[in-house]
Amino acid sequence: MSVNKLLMFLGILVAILASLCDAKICVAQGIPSGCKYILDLIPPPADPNFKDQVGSFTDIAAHPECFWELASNGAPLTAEALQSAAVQSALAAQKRVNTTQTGSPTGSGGTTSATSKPVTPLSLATEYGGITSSTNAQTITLQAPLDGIPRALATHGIVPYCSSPLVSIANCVHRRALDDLNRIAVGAAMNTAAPSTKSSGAATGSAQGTTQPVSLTSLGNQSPSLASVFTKITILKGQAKLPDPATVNAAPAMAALAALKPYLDGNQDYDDWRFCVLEKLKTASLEDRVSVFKKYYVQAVSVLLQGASVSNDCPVNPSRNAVTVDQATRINQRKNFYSAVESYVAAAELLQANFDNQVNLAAASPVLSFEYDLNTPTSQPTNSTFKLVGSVGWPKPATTAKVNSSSSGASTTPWTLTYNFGASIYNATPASTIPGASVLRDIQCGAELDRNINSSKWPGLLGKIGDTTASLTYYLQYQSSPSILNVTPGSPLPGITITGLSPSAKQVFASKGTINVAQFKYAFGKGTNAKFPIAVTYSNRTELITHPTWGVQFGVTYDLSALMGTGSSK
Amino acid sequence: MARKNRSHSRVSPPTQAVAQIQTAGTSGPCKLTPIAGATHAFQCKAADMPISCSLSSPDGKTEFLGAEVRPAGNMGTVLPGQPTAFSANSFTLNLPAGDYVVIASVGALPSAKPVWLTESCAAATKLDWIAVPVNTSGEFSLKVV
Repeated sequence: MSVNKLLMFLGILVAILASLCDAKICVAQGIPSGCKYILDLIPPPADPNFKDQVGSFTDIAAHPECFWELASNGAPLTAEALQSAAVQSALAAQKRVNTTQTGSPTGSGGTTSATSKPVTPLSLATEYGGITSSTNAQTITLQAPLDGIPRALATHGIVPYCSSPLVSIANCVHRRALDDLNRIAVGAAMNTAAPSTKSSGAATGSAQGTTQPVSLTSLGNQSPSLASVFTKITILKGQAKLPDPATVNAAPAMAALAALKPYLDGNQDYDDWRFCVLEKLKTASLEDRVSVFKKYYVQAVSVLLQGASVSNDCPVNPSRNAVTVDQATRINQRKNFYSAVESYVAAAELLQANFDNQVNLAAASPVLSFEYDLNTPTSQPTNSTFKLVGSVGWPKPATTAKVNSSSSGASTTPWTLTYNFGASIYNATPASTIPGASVLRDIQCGAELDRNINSSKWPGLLGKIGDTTASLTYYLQYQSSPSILNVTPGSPLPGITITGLSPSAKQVFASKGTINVAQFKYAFGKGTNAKFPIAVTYSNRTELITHPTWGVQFGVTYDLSALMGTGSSK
Repeated sequence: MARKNRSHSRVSPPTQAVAQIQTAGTSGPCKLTPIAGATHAFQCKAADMPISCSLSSPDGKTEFLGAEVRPAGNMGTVLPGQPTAFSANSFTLNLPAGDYVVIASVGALPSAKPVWLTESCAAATKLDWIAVPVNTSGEFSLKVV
């Protein structure tokens, strides 16, 4: 990939991320949209729920969102409030899923995956061993959904999170935009070691007794080379499901809410204001409610932040109590009240960001994705692979009630079936001198059956292994064109020795055929973030070798989304 | 750029959550009675404990994320051991005589409709109205005599 293309790609990525920041405040008919949403839900006065709903609308100790929209007047949340909320928020537990792929694509020289998975989390992996390739290599793969970084920033309180487009928060990362970006993921795999790490050498001096100096050079690349870049687009997302509440820590938000009440208890001006809004809404037609809001509800700001009384045209509150808090205390309270409300909003938004992560993680299968891989295998023509990747999990996990639990991984389906259908094309038309060669390189399909295995009931030390995953995979690749190798006579290929080449040969090719691959894989990994997949693979042939081979692949994959307190959908 | 809140046509409540909603608040006499002249304030006898609260979520897209009880005179303190049971759709309190504030935090899918915090009883006494997705918490005062 050229530098220009890389810069263009990064530019597009930055533009997308920049578009996430919502600098405009949502205002409808002069009313903050969050307030308007609630106002519109209040039924006519004759409805038995009218008083309760107006009571909630004006209960700022329990529902401060509308008040904050008015009082902040579009001002952004302060970094202090966000960081304070972030510090108090525990990272949500992450979930083990079998529909995420953290490693390299199938065709890579270093991969443990014979099939692709529909979801790409923010992850890092290093793997060794090819499946369809004829040489083994080591790769390092970094991939991420486009929402990965901004979601991580939001869940850590570094940027504000708009949990709802209805509540006005300036310069926030938008919930809906992140959900949309979650559908797109990108990644790159690099060859970090020369295939088979072979070296060649030549004597550089005369022998001295039984010893002789030589000069050795590596047959592989001297620096990491690009193995593939890939992108995955989710076509069909699983149904959104409410997550296990135990995976979300609501305590900081509830504590911030509890901090509001002492500011309001015994404040008779506040009580008068609530009574006024109730009475005015009682007599207002539905069309006049906006006017009532603009004239009376907005007085909450002056009453609570400036110590003003409600306007004279408000009805007298018959249950008006004597002043229970002295004026000096009240003035002091007013100074801190706005900060307290802001702290609550920051904590609530952070809670919502973590909740939404868990919603994404709990999204049900099936999921259908489209994957594009641009493969740049060593010493071979580049090719492009297009795949449809789907998965389905069963049976549905049971929801368990928990008492005061702090954190727990959400349950997942014990069985997962992943299936792939795809085709690969050469990015340039092969030489016409290669018999049977065409742009279509191969067509492929595969299926993987995963079973979650919990070792907690196993005896002794085996019980400490934690959750593991066993997988059986079958992969079929019909090569419609022979596999091609780029060669330079006199300059051996890394990992491959060919003798008898014509001095004019620039490409060599093997006979085409059908590759059948069967794989058993076991992924260890105590906890939820790191996995250690090891696989044994049998194939009737590889891309170049036309006789059966056995191979072992292994790797380490790390789900960075867990580290960053975020995650991708299942 | 501001966006409109679009509904999720593909989002549907989980079957189990629907089952919980249908059974919540449908049995037993109500124990909480409103305190006259106050909003979202209720009382009950200590002998009537325990009491349970539910989430009346008709679309099954909202759930409890947490609940806690604080002494009304000391809002900085969380009463330990409460609630005695907690799930996504209900929690149970067992309190001695005293004045308390009960706070519940809820999580809602973007397309969720407003919900009521109710007592789990035949008449499903309404304790607070939570206009999700704007509001994400509910609260009521409880006097146990």
